[in-house]
Amino acid sequence: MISKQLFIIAVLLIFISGSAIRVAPTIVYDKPLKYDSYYHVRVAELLKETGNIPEVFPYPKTGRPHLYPPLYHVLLGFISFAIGLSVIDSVRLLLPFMASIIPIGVLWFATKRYNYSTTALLAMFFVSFSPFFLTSSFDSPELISIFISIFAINYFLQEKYMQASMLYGVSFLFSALSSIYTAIPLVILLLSEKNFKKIAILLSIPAVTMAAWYLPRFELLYAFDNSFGTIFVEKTIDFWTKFYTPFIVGSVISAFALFNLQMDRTRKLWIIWTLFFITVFLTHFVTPAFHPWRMPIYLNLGFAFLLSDTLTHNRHRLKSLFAIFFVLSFFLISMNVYESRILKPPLPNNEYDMISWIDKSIPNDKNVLSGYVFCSNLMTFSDNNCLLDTYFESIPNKTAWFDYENFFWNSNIQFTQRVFDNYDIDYIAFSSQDWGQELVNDFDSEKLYATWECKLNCLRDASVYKLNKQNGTVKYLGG
Amino acid sequence: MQLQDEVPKHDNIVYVALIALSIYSLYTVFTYSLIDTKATYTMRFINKPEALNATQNLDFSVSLRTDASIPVNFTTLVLIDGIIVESDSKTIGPQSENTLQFSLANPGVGKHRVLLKVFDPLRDYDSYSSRARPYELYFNVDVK
Repeated sequence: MISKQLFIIAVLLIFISGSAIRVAPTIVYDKPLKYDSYYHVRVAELLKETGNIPEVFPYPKTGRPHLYPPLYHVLLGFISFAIGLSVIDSVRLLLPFMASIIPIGVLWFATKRYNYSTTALLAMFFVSFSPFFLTSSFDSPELISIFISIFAINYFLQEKYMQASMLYGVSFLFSALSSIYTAIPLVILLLSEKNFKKIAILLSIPAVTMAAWYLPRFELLYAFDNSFGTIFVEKTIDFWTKFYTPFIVGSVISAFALFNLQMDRTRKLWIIWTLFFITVFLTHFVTPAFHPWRMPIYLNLGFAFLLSDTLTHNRHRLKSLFAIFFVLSFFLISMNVYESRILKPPLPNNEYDMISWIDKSIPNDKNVLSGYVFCSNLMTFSDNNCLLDTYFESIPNKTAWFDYENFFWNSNIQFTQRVFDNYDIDYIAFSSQDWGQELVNDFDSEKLYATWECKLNCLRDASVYKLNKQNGTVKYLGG
Repeated sequence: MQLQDEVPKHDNIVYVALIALSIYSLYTVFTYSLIDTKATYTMRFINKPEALNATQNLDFSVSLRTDASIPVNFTTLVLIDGIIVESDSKTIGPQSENTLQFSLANPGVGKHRVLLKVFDPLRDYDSYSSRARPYELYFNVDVK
């Protein structure tokens, strides 16, 4: 009896503490914490105002084909309309909420698929305190897709392929990439069983849904000026991915080493799942085209089931394993709490004041160039448009976007001159994270605004420059 | 097919361990704090001339705002075409908006760049070069 009570207390405490870590940073700030969210805010606001999403999205300044599946933006618009929250607040709260209930989905799944409550509780714990689920709690609807996938996978394992297919159809409408990724291990398992008919059933509804969304936009795909492996060149694997992934991959390999269990379909699926996402992650050494920086969250899901299963079944043979688990968990929680506390909106407060100043001082028809993080915030919090935006998929003019982005990384006068000559730029806004101000000083320009932050030392300033263009060029004054 | 391995359905030691870890997590979430002692400064033009007659003074003003909790003594330099024409010092803060007003002798006919630099010599330095890193605004003026 006491076991059941302890189990319930543990479930409640894991849920509450996991949710607290996710919700704490989002209630401290009044803005979304990851810059991807600013894109989703603008789409959802447009949907709320006009009732539809245009095929060519009006942001950034040059317009952009809109191919992102619509259900996340519909949900945000609905929440905003139904509860009376602003779209920004809906974005701030929805994803941490989804991230908080994913462990409940994991508990439900593990309770159904494994006979032992301990396995289910450990799986819930690993997902609840995953640093990857924490950092993904603020930017992308792939979390919603992953939540749906848990139920789809359960149907799949019950051999209810049509129900799984329906859920994958819905999942696609939230996040295309996530639904495709999570379906691939299932297809690999069916291929290994030579169940081609079941593959057809599983993929039928997602295929129809994808066709219904993309075919009317087929012409827009021509604007997909986006060659794999080049356009994502600026994306790098961040500290958390670098740091934690070896830990996780190592743990999974350890789990395999300890695995001496009967192999059933559930275990087979999670092994295929984990190996598939390790493989995709490793592609980052070759090409960033497959979004390898997003893989740890998927890896973590497979890892949570595999390791909890292994720990449960080896506990009586290898008690020291539990001691290692306990120490690792302390480490995991401490890092999570630290990560939770250092999460902040993409720009410091003084740069949001700079956006207000731009909104008041620069006419809306002027062309403002800034880095994509600042641009994304500028377009969200002011009436001004901008020349760049986040999400580099489906861009209208790859050459221009490359030049705009590289402008903030270059130290070459000829390149700067070429950008000024080739593109119609009236103002440049530098965030404190951008480079290249010194070069602009050497051209016919005016520096109208500067704001900087000091801790022990003072940092580089964020600033606004006005370019004085005459006869189609900005004159070089330096040297 | 469900799993048939022989292990206990419940495991009190694991439950207690997870309860302890969750309580530790909750405790750290609510007690952890980062010491954040940053201050921000913002500088912008309030007014500046676009063009001048050769008889007019070169007048402009700048707003320098801070949320710092301690005052900072800034050195200000005004340069016209790279030559220092005025230097001063001004105490900014705590938590205030100051207006810096300048009235300079007319630099003469032609196009000129007017540059304002502000810096705290004790603090605003570039750690790479160990030299003062001034913050600056500038504008161009056409004297006819």
